[in-house]
Amino acid sequence: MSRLLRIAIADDEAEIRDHYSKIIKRLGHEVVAAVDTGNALIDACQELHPDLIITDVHMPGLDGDQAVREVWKHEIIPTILISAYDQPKDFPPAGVHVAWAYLSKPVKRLDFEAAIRATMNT
Amino acid sequence: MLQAINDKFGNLRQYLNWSGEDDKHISQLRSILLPFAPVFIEDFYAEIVRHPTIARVITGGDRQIARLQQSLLRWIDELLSGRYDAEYVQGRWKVGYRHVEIGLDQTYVNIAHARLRMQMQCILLEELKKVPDQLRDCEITLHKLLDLDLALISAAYAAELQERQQKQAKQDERLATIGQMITGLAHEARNALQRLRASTESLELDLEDQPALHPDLQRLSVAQDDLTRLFTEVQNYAAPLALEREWVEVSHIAQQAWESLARQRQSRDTQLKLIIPADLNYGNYDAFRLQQVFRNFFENSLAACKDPARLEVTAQLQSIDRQSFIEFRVQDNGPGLSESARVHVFDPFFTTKTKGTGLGMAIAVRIVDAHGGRLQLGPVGSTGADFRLLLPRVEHVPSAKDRHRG
Repeated sequence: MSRLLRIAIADDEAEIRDHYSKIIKRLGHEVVAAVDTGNALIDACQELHPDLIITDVHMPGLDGDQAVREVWKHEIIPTILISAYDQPKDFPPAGVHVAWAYLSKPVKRLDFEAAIRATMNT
Repeated sequence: MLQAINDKFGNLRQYLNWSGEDDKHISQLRSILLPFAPVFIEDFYAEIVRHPTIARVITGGDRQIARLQQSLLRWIDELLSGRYDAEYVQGRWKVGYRHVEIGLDQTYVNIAHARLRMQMQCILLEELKKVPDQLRDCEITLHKLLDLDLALISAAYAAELQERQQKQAKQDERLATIGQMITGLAHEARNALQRLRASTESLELDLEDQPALHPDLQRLSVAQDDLTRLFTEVQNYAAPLALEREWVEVSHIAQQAWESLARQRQSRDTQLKLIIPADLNYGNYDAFRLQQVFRNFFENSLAACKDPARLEVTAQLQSIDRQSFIEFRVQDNGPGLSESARVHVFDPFFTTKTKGTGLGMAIAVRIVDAHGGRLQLGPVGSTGADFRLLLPRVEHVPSAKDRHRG
């Protein structure tokens, strides 16, 4: 029996955020925040304490992986990174024990869903 | 350029004290040596074909040998002509850069030259043994003449080699720039592809209850997959290749490549036979990359062969330029390669498949090159495709850890 997850998503493109939201809701989970910058992601996590972060890497200002590192200083939250580029180096940083996944763009829905299941062990 | 060479030639002549006397001796040399030209030529090429490194650059068989014999005759004729003008210099120059073109080292030219010199000297000794003064004069002139000749040829060789290396460096730089551009393009395209994918999949979810529209959505999705695959392969091709070598078992790698094609082989009658002797089955290669190479061969064969498709990988030892290679032959029972496919099979973007990117074989070439190996085609007239993957043979006693990893 899968539990309901509270998920924060970050991507600088609205149609991508909408799409992720649609998939997440279909799975019966809740999107607690859908933001377009790394800084907004940090704020959302500190305020809402989501169960899972799904974020693009390259965003204006702070990159997604950098924002997640910042979040992890206060709270370890499982994370799925998505990028059109190579997987960021030293991610996750040594010493941080966290469930995480990396997906390469373009991401298919089935892979996206599988990553959520794998990360949350549901 | 030619003016500079002419000047250089003039300087060298001065340095050797080339004089009117030499010009006189030349005509005597000519009358003695020219009748023996066929003997020199015969000896010269009989010797050449005995040496694998030199014979390797003669790819045109007897017809090429006949042509080369003609040029050697012309060379001897010009050498003894007594006319050492711009035209003569240009002719020598051509000899130099022709050797760069065919990739034969200057050392071989020097040695071949020495061989001709020795032959000419023997004739002189024989013909003029009763007139020591004339012999001495003719010998001195002959040596001056041949030294000047060789100086011209080696100057041309060095100049041409340098020019080619500069050209190659420029070409490499250009390719590196194109590579960076393509990598950037592919990354940017991925963002656009992600939006396409997102919108298509959103539509799929919205239109779940309208099955009539599903085939269209399916086609959209397949086109996106194809485009994604193309970009991935282009990125693979353009990205720098860093090998992660380890002690590996080749038959295992080939088998894995075959298994990774399970989907393509589904409901077909296909069979892969691996006949690799145990002593040729191990090497210090990048397992992942080598699997890519085999997979590429197998994929092409599966696309080309009608059922029952039969593929075979065999291995033998090969020696090229004293280097030891393991030659893996990958053969199938398909139609084989057409004449034009034989010419272009290793070029990027060449494909005979309706759905190929044409980068598979070009990537394979890069991988094999990085291993210090070679990728070749079997001889014309092979039945079916016949690829030869040559990898350097490394003597190595596997450590316990390697054996364990197998």
